[in-house]
Amino acid sequence: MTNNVLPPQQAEALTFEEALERIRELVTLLESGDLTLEESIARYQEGSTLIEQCRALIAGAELRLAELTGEEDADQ
Amino acid sequence: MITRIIPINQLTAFLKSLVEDDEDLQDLWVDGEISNLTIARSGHAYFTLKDEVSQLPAVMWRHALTRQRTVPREGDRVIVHGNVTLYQPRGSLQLQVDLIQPQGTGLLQLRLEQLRQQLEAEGLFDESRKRPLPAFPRRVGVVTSSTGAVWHDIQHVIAGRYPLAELVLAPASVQGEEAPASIVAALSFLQETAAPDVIIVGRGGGSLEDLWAFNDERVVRAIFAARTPVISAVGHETDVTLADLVADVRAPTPSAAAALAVPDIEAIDAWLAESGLRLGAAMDQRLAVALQVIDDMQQRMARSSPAARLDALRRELEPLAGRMRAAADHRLTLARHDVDAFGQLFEALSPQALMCRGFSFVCDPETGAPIRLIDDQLAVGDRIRAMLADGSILADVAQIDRAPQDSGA
Repeated sequence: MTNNVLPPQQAEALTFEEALERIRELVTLLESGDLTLEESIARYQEGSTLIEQCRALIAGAELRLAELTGEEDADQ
Repeated sequence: MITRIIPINQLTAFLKSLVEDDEDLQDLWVDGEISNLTIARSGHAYFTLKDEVSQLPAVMWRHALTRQRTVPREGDRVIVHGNVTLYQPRGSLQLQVDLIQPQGTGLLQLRLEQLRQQLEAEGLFDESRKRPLPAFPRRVGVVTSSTGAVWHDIQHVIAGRYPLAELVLAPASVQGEEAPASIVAALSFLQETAAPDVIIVGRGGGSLEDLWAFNDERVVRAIFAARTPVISAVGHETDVTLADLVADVRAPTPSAAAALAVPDIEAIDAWLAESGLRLGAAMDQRLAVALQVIDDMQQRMARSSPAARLDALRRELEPLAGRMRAAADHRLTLARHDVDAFGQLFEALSPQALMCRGFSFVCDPETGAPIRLIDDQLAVGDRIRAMLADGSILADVAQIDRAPQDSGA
């Protein structure tokens, strides 16, 4: 399954950490040199896209805060 | 009045139950001095606990002895925890000890040490059950006071390191009577409503009493039971709380806990850049291989093309042509030599050459016809022309002498 090229819409659905894991996989695959040229190009494009997406995500990230309510609040 | 006669073992059994069922003789803290200490081959320790006026035999089983942080020694002034039992084979009372602490230890600390040993024996602090923290948590849960500096510090660190995470606070009271129950409730509420990937439980520093909630058995067991890894952040360098021991990871401060909970975005950014470079390099490499294959093919095709065939033929032909040319040249040279030789011969035979050697050529002065024989037409008084090497003379025949050989003709 990991050897298959993910369709673009699926690539976008990856979470950040899944994307990082996938990038790690793609780099290893490409560096192994066992791929056909077409596969290499597809993997390279997928990897580049994921890297871009991750960087965009990092650039746009803002800490989201939530405070659970329904509990008696704290003291000091 | 004798109602019945009983065997001694029935009596000791009765006494044993009398002693061991008495709640006043269980869960005792006893103060005294260790003497006659022997540690048997079995690993059990036998000693006498005494003061100035009395003494009682005591035993500490091997499993309790191995949990001791300090090994008891002869003459130690100690506080022991245990219960009174009756050893039937001897009919003697003895103190069965499960904890020995130095004298002067406060009761709070004695209870803490006792609980620590108990929970340790249950395996709550085992290294083998510590869970690894998630590398990229999506949601970080925090159980602490909503008003203290802890929550603020954690927010600050995570916003700087990894703003991709969502930070969820489950407010809890971290000090006072109600703190343990509040922390336990916050932990369970947090897990049920937010399902975080990692949880930080903590408070700022304080005295041993301030930190007491984090030594509470309920809190320790709630942390142990947590479905996600827990980082303890009880801000105290020297006193390790039971919550610290049971947590999957212990952090010295809330800020440190936050840094442990999430990765550093800058490191990830650098990793992404490096991955991009590696992808590019691997792709270049792959393309270079592909180009080389194409080059090879091209070379092999070029080698077997018609033009190459012709070239090869031409190369084969050239030496032959050269040899042919050389052979022809040689033949011509030979011919030229022959011609030269003939020329010399010819020249030797020319009249001029003959005349140079002293012969002369005689001819009729009118017609130029050669006169070879006297018989042809010569008579005395005839005019003849004699050709010499450098000219000719006209002469008259003065006398005719026939050669004797010719007379016969």
